[in-house]
Amino acid sequence: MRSWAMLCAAAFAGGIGLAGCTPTVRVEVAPINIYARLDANVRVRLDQEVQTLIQQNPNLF
Amino acid sequence: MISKLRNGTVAGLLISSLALGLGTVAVMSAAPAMAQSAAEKAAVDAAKAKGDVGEQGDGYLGFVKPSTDQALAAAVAAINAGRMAVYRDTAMKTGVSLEAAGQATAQQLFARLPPGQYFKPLNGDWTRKT
Repeated sequence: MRSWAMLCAAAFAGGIGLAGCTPTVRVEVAPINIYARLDANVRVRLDQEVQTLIQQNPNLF
Repeated sequence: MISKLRNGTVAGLLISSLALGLGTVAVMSAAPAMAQSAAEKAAVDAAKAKGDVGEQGDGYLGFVKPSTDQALAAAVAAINAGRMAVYRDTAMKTGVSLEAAGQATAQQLFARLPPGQYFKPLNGDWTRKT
């Protein structure tokens, strides 16, 4: 019973150790979506401007 | 007296022809630019319909597949340059970055893209719209 608990503890510690050693690769994949991070109010205003911009520039869109 | 009159007439003619010339220059400089971008738009639209060119998540046109068509490459570049200018205006007006304005436009362009044409989300691959 005691050895089982020790085994459990060892496994647990091992798990933590392993997790601790696993390199966490944080790659910020470019290009970043800046639009999604905008403040909601700004985004609404921007969306309205963009709608006008598309309509007013038929040779570009 | 006659020579004076003639001089006056010549001067008048000169002035009017100068004005006409200026007018012609103004019209001529405006007309080809318009015609050119309409032609560029037509070339790009045809390429989009064929699936050679598509809309990118950054708000610019891109090549879905490599092309050797120089005229098409020039048309894509010209339209992208024009887009950058209007994105810059919108960015200034709304207080966001140039990139954000482009990305916001891409969202709306994706939405209105006809089925069968290609778009490329940010960090994604070319996708055919269904």
